[in-house]
Amino acid sequence: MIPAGRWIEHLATWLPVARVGEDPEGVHQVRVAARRLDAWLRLGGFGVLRDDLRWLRAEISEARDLDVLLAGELDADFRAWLAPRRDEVHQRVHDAVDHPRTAALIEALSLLPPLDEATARGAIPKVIRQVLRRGRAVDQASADTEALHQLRRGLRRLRFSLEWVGENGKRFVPLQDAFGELNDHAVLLRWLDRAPQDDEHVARRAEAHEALDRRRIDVVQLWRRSEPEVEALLASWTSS
Amino acid sequence: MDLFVIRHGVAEPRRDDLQDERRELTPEGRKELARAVRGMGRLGVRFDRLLHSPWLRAVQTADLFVGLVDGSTEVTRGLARSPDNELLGMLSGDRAAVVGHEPWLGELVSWLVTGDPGNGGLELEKGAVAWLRGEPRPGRMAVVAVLPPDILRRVKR
Repeated sequence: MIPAGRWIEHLATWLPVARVGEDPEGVHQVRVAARRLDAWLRLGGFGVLRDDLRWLRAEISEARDLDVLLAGELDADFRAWLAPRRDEVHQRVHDAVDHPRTAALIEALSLLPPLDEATARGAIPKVIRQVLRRGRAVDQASADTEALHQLRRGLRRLRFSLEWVGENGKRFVPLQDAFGELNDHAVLLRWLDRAPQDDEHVARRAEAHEALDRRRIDVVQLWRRSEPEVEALLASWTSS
Repeated sequence: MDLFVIRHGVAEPRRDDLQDERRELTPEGRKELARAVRGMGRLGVRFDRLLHSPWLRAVQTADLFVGLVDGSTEVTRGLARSPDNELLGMLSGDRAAVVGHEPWLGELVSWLVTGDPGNGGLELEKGAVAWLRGEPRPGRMAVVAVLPPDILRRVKR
């Protein structure tokens, strides 16, 4: 049997930290827990509660992206513009933690019985196939941002799903990290688009765009080298 | 709006050593409910939105209906207590469904149809659906039909 209790407790523990907003780890751990719980629900074949987790992740996601950006290297002017935005972005986290939907979600998750292990393991091949399908979409679309984003999500879900059934999901961490860095560049560009458009800013933006394009190519090449490993994983899960 | 008020399916009986919120659908209750859901699907029923109580039997019931949902689902404690304005405020879209418990679903129907939640009159059996139409405000809806689960299970292709 596969209980979700540990990660429900993790979520409940970090929500108040995320609400206060002083420690960036709060929002990060809430998001990690929400993603792992979503993978658990999918392994169990659940359709409900996933929209609630998705809503919670959406409410905190901008805060997390901003925390990661502020922890990185930024030039002084851009940082001076960006830092005050943290308060307004974190207000959304505060409101989400206090929202009755979050309490109802925790309650509902806490009442669910453990997953049947055979059912969960039976769902793994479908998760792997989804990654391979999304990988083929990346190959065909060259380096389309949305296709890469979908692949990233699929890989993350695969990692968490494998870990739920007691298998090694960490093999995908290097690939996940590469996608994470790509996402960091995309987030930087989104915030640059919102900043005042002066000459320095235009140069900053051009530089960020070039860095994103280079990273995108690296990630696609890394995926292509990793694809055979995922195909082998599917074979191992589907051979009798 | 078309509002479908759905009581959870047959659940394990109450026991002193089991919290009410943790009572699951019985295997037979789940099977019967799944057949009733197929019947609703054959009638062409779809929902824009489905709200459900967090209690286990309601979650399991809502999960069986999720294939009829075109939009999103949302868990709310408003369906695990007497209905209030907060719950009414959540009812949106053209076709919404709520999954919950008696006596509160009966109170909800009474409130929406007569304007008075204490007006009694309707107690849904387990797995039954009350179909209301109108504006989701007190006294502004009318009952179109009450669909018992055994009728829904008999709807053929």
